[in-house]
Amino acid sequence: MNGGYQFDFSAVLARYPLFFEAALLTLEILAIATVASLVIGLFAGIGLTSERWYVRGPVRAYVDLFRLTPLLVQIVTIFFLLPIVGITVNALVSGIIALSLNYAAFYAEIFKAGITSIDRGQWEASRAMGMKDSTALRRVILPQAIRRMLPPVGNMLVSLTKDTSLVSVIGVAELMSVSQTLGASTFRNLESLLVVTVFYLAINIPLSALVSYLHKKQVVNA
Amino acid sequence: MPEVTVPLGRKSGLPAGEHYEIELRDLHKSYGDNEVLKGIDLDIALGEVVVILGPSGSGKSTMLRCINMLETPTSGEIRVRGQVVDSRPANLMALRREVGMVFQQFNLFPNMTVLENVAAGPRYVRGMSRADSEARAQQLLTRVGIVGKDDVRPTRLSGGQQQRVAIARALALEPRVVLFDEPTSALDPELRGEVLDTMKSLASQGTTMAVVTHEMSFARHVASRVIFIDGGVIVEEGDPAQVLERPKSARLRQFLNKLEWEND
Repeated sequence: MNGGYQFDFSAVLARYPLFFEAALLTLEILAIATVASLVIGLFAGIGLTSERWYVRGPVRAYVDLFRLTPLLVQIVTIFFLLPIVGITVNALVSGIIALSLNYAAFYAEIFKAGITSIDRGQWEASRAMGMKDSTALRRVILPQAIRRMLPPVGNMLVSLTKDTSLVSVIGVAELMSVSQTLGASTFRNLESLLVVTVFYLAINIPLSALVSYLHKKQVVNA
Repeated sequence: MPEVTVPLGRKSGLPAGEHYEIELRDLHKSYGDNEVLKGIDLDIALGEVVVILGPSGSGKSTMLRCINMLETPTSGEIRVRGQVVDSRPANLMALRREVGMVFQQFNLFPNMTVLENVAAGPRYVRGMSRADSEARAQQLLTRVGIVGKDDVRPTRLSGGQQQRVAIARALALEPRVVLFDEPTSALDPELRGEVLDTMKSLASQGTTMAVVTHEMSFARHVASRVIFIDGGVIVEEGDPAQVLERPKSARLRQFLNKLEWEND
């Protein structure tokens, strides 16, 4: 029994170039937000490990604000807030900013965990030879921490692919948005959704495979 | 390992106008209410090999770690070649370039090769070029007898080899003094000899060393001076023969008896 519903993909598939365009935009959001959030997350993560409360405090406040409130709320709030504080950007940029700030908060925690998981002796050996803490962090601590962070960062990538769909609410023409538009205009909403599902899988299955590979590699090297 | 009966380190004693390599004055260190160091005075002269003995918890490692400010003393003064050390970063970096350290757990950098570990100080602290720093590292590795392992990760080496790489790393910045914090305690007995031999050869080349250890044979044959710490104070110090064979205090006699008992 299928409730009498007749699947018909022809109208949706006839407009396939729109899906590819939208998929490219999704990939663009994914790439830019990943780079931005990793950079912000690195500095915020280092800030979280600071011994100075006036560094750690504000960073902690930022991280918790973005980690403990819904991403969807952040996307919409930032979209309306930016023009008010005098920043005029289009919906795409606004969406990327929201995704980046949100993911950076989680990356900050991952960086912090990675940094603090490194044995004290590594800091001591670096300091004992007269290295500045910033040099020790860059040459000794982070290279080791980042290796341990690869699997969680990979999981975040998979998760970000999915969360890019949320910027459809502010009208960014990424995959989810296009599927809704096409669905409405062809009256084939379900078919349209199933097609974008395939696109999300096409992005995330390789990413997820990469994560398992990194996981396995790490277990072997541990 | 051949038995050496003459102490290799030079005797203490200072020509006029010269500074000690290291001077500790009334050094105190507390963790909360727990006072670990209760006023340590110690001078180390050029070429001396000072062995520091003491039961666990006596404060001997804390004292050693105060010398290069890995622990910040609660009060007291540290001078390196007459220069007072404080905790301002620039001053601290300058001090630490003069004082090398070898740790119980080696603390080699697992993200670098053996060669890069030894070259790290010259390269990242002194800003030497990669080629120059690695050339120096190669010489030092040869000196500690680690040959043909340049591109290997340190974790692939035996504990004894790792510790010798760590010694080469500590020497790479040409420190005036090298501190050893129980350098053989994490090693299996059969691997200790190679590390002790390396240390002995450093001593014979005139390297100034401060060594926290339980290796009595090293203390007896290599030290120019032995210091016994207990309860955060120096209880006895002097010539190894005198301190180890004719201990004055009951505490040191007890400590030596116990060590002998454990080593049998």
